[in-house]
Amino acid sequence: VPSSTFSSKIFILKILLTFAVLAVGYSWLIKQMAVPITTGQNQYQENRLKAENYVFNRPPCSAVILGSSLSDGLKEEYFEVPVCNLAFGGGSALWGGPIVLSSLERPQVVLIETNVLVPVNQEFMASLKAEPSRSLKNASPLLRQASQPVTQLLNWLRKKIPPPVKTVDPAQAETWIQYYVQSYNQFHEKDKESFQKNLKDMEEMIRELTASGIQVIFYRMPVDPRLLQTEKLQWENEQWSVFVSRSGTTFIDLPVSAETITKDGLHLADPSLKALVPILQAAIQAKIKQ
Amino acid sequence: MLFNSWEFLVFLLVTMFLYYLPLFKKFQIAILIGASFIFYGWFQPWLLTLLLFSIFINAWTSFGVSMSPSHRLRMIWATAGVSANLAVLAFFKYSPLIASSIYGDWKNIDGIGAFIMGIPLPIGISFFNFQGISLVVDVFKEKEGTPNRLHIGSFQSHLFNTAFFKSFFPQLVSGPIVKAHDFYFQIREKYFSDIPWDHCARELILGYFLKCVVADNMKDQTFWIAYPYFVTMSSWDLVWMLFGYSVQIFADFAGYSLIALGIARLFGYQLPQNFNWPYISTSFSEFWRRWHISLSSFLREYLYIPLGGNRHGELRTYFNLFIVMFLGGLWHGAAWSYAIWGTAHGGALALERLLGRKVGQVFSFLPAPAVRFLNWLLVFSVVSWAWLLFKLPNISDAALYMQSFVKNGHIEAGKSRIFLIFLYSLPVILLHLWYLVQEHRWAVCLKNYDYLIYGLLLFLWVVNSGSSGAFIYFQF
Repeated sequence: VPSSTFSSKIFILKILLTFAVLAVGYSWLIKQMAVPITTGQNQYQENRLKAENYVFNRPPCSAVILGSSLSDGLKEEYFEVPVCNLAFGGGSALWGGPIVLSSLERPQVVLIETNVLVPVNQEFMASLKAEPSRSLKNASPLLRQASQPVTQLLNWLRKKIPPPVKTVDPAQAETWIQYYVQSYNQFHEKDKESFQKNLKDMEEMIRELTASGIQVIFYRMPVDPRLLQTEKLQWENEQWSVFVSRSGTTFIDLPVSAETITKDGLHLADPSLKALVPILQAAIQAKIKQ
Repeated sequence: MLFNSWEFLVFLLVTMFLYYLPLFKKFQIAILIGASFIFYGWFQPWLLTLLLFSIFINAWTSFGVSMSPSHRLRMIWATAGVSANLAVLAFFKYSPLIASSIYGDWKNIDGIGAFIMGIPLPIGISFFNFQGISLVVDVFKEKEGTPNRLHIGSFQSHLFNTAFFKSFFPQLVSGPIVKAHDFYFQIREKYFSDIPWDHCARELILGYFLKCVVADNMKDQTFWIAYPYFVTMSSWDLVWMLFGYSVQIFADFAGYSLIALGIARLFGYQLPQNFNWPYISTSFSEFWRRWHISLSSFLREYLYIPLGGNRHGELRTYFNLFIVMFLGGLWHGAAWSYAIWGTAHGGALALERLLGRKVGQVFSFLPAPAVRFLNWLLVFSVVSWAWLLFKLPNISDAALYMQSFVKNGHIEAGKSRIFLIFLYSLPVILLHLWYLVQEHRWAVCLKNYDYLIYGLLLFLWVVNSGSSGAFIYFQF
């Protein structure tokens, strides 16, 4: 039924008008409420929140942390020097490098976690760098992840009703450790090949970082000692040792102590993460002084 | 090319501009065929060879059916056409399943097994092959005297129309599955002034909202329905995630279908409705009249009825239901879990037919709304649990999920996750409820202000979309 009539066009106009009113009203509302965004709706959005904050808000950072979910919890406020955390859950140090390199303001130091090497997620990068999304987000904060109504609502609720501090359930942690031990002992040739390939990308990234005058520190996060005995971690750590010694830069093997608590053998509980901060901070300061 | 990408927006605008340019009005179909080939070959141009092969085979065999003077010859051509479509589908889609069933774990095989396992699944193959079958069968039916709307002229013009019918980009990769007799008669010159803008706006806004806001955000909540993550989650989390996945799969596919309908309408073509608020269903047969309508009607028309439908006694009817749903399940994916999923639905349909009336008599003491509610609850619960086989095609993982659901009652639930699943489900729940009450007088009055709702949906699409994900049905 052709409905390209006057009323049909008016209908679309009314939709657009409603949209405009909502956009203006909502922009005003979030400015008024100024809810601090401390959490995302999911891991993927948390990654994007971090990355967008770095790219569009350009916070001053002397050092940037590049890593995976293992370093994700090293909160910026734990450090006395201005540090930005671009460690991404489900990602790796390879994700944060291109973000640092594409930014106009460069940090003095990058800390690179020696762990899994997940190659750059193109969709994630495109959400930050591809046009016209980048220009639109740059021009309008409304289009960024932090402005999403559901993210705002979630953070507003968290501010009003702070969630209880999560404790580590030893039984659950043990289930995970057993799982990791089993899966890390099934290490295939294909996995080794892909690690080597990603290590080459890392080499290229380090070359670009140092060429831009950024100093590099490698660090290894502590994990449950049982996991260090697995075929995968033993092999990967050997590769990292060779790689790091060849690059001739600082390497910090963060220690495991009797107080170290992991949630699942890999990811440290908050107090254990905080305990590592002074070591990393001292390394950053030493590098800056050099 | 994805509907939810910037390049698609540019592609769509350029195609529309050329399509309606008076200078090119004689080339409208050619423009759409060209655009469809660009759309399909955008990421993997080699896929076009398969599409072209499929177009040629279907045009050739259906033309053979059309030109054959005798029933026997027509039968031979039609059998050849249907077989060719099924052979292509079997080779690309089911070879890996057969190979893995024979050789076991793919990581441990090489040689011919590895080659077969490595055959890529061309996107949209299940959809455009079914349309090919529809073309051959519809031409056959027309020639056998069934009133139809196909008019086949010369081979060149038939090839041209077939190329258009099979490749028309809004429905190429994920349907709706269009039957030849519903499409060919629409092929004619179109005018810009005939575009039903309000219909297009409604379909496109609702479609993009369902896909980008509901499904894409829900996807990141249901991501954890994957081994081993769910093993340490609470029973509440597990049941809510499953509910979320039911909402996600609906929003994803219904959203895609609405976008396809809206885009096709922009070019003057009407595609069949694919969803009609399936989660209000109070019986399994109703569910299948509302869910993926184009597939269920295809299976009914081209498989269930030719098998004899319900015309050969109760036992045969159950068998037909079973076999149709088994094959329908396997159509979705090359894994035994899909076959089990289809068979479970076939079993539910057969049971409903067998016991429905008797069970109804047992519960006759209850008021009608209570019976309807219990029926709805049963259908929705079974349908939702069955989706687990979609999300976890490894059957042992699905079994472990159910085991974890039973075992993990003591674990504390993730309140944020449950809250977010509820929040993103809300639009789908409200849309289903709106469908139920839309004929009420107050609802009719409210319809005059529906532009407010569409304005809100548009706003949420712009500011609250999730990370863009491929459409779930692309994998089928």
